[in-house]
Amino acid sequence: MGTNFLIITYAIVWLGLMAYLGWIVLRMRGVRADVESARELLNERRGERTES
Amino acid sequence: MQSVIQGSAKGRLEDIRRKAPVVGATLEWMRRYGELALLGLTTLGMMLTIWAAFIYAPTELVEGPVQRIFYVHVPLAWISYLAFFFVLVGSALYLWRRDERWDAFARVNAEIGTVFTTLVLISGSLWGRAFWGAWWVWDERLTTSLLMWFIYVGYLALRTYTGRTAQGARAAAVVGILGFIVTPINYMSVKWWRTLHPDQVLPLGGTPQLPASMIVALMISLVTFTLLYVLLTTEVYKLERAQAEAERLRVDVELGELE
Repeated sequence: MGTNFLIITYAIVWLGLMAYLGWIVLRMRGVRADVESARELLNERRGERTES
Repeated sequence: MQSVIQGSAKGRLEDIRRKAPVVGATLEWMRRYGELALLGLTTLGMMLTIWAAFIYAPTELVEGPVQRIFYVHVPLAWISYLAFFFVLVGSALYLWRRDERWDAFARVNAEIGTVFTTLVLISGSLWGRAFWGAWWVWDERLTTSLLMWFIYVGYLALRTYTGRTAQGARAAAVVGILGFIVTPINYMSVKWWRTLHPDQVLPLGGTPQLPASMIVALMISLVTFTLLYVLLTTEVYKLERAQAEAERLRVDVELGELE
């Protein structure tokens, strides 16, 4: 009985921490893509303005 | 903005390298490989923690194997205390200096502290069910832990609601400072009241009441979780700064459209 609780606790803690790390990586990817697209858009607009 | 910050950091690094080459080289190495080394050390530490908790540490006579939950429960609690202390530091420094990097630091620590407190509550509840026969008791330590969790969930909710505004940062800084009051109360609760929760394992200025092998296993786990905390803080802080930059760029695009 006690061993089951022990294993469940360790599994929850490690999986919880891994899930949190994974969520950080996913958010980081999303933000990087956001920054890139915003930069491209900004450069495009600047280019258009200098042409006109 | 970030490139400006990175640029000024590079300039400082160049300056240090000229004045003290050894320090400069160490800093350069840390800038390049620090995170990778930290990730490697944390992974190694995690393996060591599992070994120490399950093989090295002896089985406790009264509780049996379930007592080994102790080797994750205590370090998780230590990290939540540490993170909430840094929320206090970040919040106070933000109010003093009005530098948004301190605000980001406080926000990062609130997020990490909340994740770790959630795991403290879950692991404690499972341990309680196995040893006391109850998932939850309204004991002073448990109640103040839950209160602590609610305070920082509230802090994060406030940040989400107010967005990245100076007014929101100020309000959150006040919550971050006042909210910390519960943390020392939570730590001292087992001394101040008769609680069901066990006494402090490593009392401040006192002698630990545990066999040496259990202390060693606990220390391995504490060091590993601290390394994990440093890694998480570094990554979430970078994420926070990148989010701020993305928002700034979006504003620039929108302003450009208006002109």
